[in-house]
Order: sequence, then C-alpha cells, then structure tokens
Amino acid sequence: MPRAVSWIWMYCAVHVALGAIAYAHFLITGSYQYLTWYFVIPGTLFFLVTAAAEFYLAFECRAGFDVDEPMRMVWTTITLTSSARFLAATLIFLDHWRFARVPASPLLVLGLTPPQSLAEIGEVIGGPIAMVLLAFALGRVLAIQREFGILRGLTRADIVLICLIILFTLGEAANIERYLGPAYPRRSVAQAILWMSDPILGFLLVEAVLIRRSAHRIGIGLVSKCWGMYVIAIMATLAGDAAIWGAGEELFTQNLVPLTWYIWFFVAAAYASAPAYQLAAMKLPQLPRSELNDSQKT
Amino acid sequence: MERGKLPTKPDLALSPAVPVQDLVADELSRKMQTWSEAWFGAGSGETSAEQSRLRQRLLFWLKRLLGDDAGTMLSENTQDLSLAKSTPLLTAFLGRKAMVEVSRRVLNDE
Repeated sequence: MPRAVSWIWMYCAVHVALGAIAYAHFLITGSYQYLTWYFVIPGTLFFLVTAAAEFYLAFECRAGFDVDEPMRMVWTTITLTSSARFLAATLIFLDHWRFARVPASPLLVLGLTPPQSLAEIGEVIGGPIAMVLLAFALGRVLAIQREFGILRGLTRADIVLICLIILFTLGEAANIERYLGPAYPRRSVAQAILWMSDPILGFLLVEAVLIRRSAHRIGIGLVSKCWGMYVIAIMATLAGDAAIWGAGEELFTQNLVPLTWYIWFFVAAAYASAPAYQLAAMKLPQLPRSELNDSQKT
Repeated sequence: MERGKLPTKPDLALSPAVPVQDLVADELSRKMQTWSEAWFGAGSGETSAEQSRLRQRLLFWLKRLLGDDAGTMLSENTQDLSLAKSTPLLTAFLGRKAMVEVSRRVLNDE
C-alpha cells in the first residue's frame, strides 16, 4: 500500500477508534455530551484534513500530465472537486465552532459571528456542486477507457440498476413536488439545489459501476485502485444517504442512529485515497530498485 | 542498453576486402534491429534472452501500475507484448513524464 494511503487509513482508524469510545460513553450513559464533542471538533477537523490532503494529492496528479493530455482535464476537474469539498469542510467547520461555542474558538476571540446559512452553503458546495464536477471527471475517464477498449458494455444487471435509479429519481421528484405546494413554506435556492443530490448520486453510481467493470477487466494495479477508491467513496456516500433516509423514517433505534454518522469518515478517507493511489503509480517508476523491492513486499 | 562505438578504422587483417562503409552499415543495422526488437517486440520470430527479459520487465510494470490482466488485455499472446503496444495505454493513464521513466526502467534495469 502506498505510504500516503497508509497514512490516510491509519488516521481514519485512530479517529474512528476515538469515536468508538465516545459512542460507548453514549451507550452506557445515554448522554450526547462526548458524542457531540467528537463529531463537532475531531469530526469536522477530520473532514478538513482529509479534504486538504485530497486537494494536494489531486493537484500533484494534475501536474504529472501535460496540457494536451486527456487525463489533464480529468485531474483538473478532480482538483476542483476536492477544492469544493475542502471549502465545504471549512464552512461547516466554522459553523460547527460557532454552534459549539468552543472557548478557544478564533471566531469568538475575533468577535465574529458567521452567518446562519454557512453550513447550508457548505452542503451545496460539498454536495451537488462537487458531485457534478466528479461526474464530469468520471465521464471523461469512461470515454478514455472506451477509446482503449477497456470499457465493457452494460450487463442486464446494470440496466436493471439504472432503471431502479430512474424510478428512485422519479419518486424523489414526486416527493419534492408535494413539498412545493402552497401548504409548505417557500424553499431557499440552496435547498432546491440540495434536492438535486440524489439524482446526481444515482448518475455517479452508474459511472462507478462501469468503471468497476473496467477495473475488473484490467486487474488490480495502482491506477485501477485509484478508480476503485472513487467507486467505494460513491457507494459509501449512497449508504450514508440511505442511512439518513432510514433515520428520517425512524427505521433505526435511537442508539443505532449515531452509528450511521461514522460512514462519512470512510467516504472522506476513500476520496482522499483515490489521488494518493494515482500519484503513487506516477512516482513508482522513479523509485530506486531497493525501495521498489520494499514497496513490492507491502 | 549498452552503447557500442562505431568502428573508426577497418580491421584489414580480418577482412581486407570489406570496405569501411559496409562495416558501419552492418553495425548500424545491428543496432537498429536490437532497438526495433526492444520497442516493437520480436513478433513471430525467435526471441532472444534479452528480449525475454525486456518483456518480463514490461509485464512487471504493467501489473504494478495498471493491473494483473493489463498485459493480456493489450495483446492476447504475451509473447507479442512490446513497449510500442503498451505505450499509448500507459501514457494515457500515467502521463508522458511517468511513461518516459517506465520506458527507461524497462530498457535499462537488470
């Protein structure tokens, strides 16, 4: 495993272990005190660090391609995606610190009060906007894969999956239409954009399935692992979204709901690992033979 | 790959009848043959030990960078696998700069 990927997942493991202690405290005492502290402070810090790492690694990958190479555009878009996620993490971080009233908060020290809509703006940038950019980048990857004959056609299972996603999107649209009636308060532009998350996620899932098929065809190398990480991140995002829906529909007990929040840490770690694999592939041929043999053993 | 020196003087004791131009042309032709085999592969012809080592190194890099089946995906018969066949795919996914390094490792590593 490349060193950067090991660091990301080690940080994730330590962070989740810390979260397990907070969760155990919640289960034993029933108090949300430590659980809230964990998600507001180390939790938002984790998103900030992984988004920053993702941005740096994606930027380095972009620099490895010349301007006229097709993958340059892909990595430029992925760099924009990661910068959107980083900006979103920063806005949500600021919002949480305001909410948490942490004594050492720089905002309190400076006497600043961030606007109420900060988290909502962050959700829009880190959600639908980042997803649209990623969908464009993955679309370009699929086009390049098709050019080289790596891309496989849709199987019957893929077609069924796409039909299910279309049905799900239509169902969502029907639900949204219900909330647009006069009985409900007028929705903000941010909320209207956030409604687009699920259809875009569905589209990303289709792309992820196609990329997964291609990766299966070519085998498991560093480049395949890079695109495999995006597939894992998209699948985990879908699982996180499904958990939010399940919690809203009261499908889980109160004790289980906080457990579903941990999914988002794996999403962030997977997103950061993807460019780390690509960069490892680009740097591997420069390694001296001794280090190459070492990396082969791990 | 070892870089040989072109003969500056003909060895008259060995073949007094062979002109200098022929010796230079032979040497150049041999070099061109070695390079074209390294780049395009030996094709259906017999492969030398050096050729086979080059292919093994290329397969190693394809597996590490792209995946275990990248070699068979590029060429049904791995005996036909060459740098020329692998370069477009590797360049597309790794970039030109990384591909130059891969070529150097395939050609120069022992």
